[in-house]
Amino acid sequence: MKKGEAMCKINLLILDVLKPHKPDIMELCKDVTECTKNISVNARVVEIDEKTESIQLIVKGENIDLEKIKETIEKLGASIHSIDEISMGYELISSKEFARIN
Amino acid sequence: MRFSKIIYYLRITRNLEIIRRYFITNGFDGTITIMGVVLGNLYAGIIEPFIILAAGLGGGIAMFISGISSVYLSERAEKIKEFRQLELAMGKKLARSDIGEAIRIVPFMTALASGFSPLIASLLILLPFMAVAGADTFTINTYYQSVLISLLLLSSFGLMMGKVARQNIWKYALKALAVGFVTIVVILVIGQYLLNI
Repeated sequence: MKKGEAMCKINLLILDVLKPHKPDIMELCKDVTECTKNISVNARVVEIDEKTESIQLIVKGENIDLEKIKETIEKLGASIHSIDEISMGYELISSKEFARIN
Repeated sequence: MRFSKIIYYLRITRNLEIIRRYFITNGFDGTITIMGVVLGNLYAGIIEPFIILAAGLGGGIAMFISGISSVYLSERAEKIKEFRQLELAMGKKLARSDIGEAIRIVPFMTALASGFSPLIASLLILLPFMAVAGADTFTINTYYQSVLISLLLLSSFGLMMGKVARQNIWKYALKALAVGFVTIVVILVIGQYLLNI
């Protein structure tokens, strides 16, 4: 491992995604899970409009490839509105810990 | 293109139901039409298989082309309209996404189902005449066999409708069969009237 490489490793991502109703949330989760090795995905519908829905996508893993995830999401016709939370480095810092520090 | 990919495209554009509807509607339409052609030939006293085959196949091919072209054009127009509205809602171009690819393929698949359904129905109805195609003439039984196939096809479409509605499939089959019998009776009455003129 090169010096500094570990620091760039993403181990948690929380994304705000806007998507059409179809492909559905199952399809999105499946494709995102398949795009990087050893990751877990959780998706939750936050808001439903007439033609679109907003999804909160939580991706947890050892070395998350953000670019690949972005590509997969775009291929499904969805788009990333914002990156709401990101965790990088050796150890995953949980949201609870984050809240405690603040 | 893989079959699963086509099914995926049909699913994300919610087109499976539309294909099923076109398949049943146009198949039903084609069956009644060709059955009408066969009964019309019976009243005209046609006994050469070639004439009935020419008339029936002509009708079947016309319905195939009409089914494909009209459905392709109308479905494409509808899908493009839906696609533009979705692009507006998403606030970005979707041409390179799965939905963009599906929009190009799905109207064609719908058109194929809508065109092949009446063509296959007409070929099945004309099967008894194809069997005697080599002969110069045939008996009235060939006509009966053809009408029987038509009625079987109509009841199969009825069964499909019942399955879609998740209701009593036999009730739907009987309803479809009743439509066939009404067609036969109307043609018989008009045929008799024309014969008596």
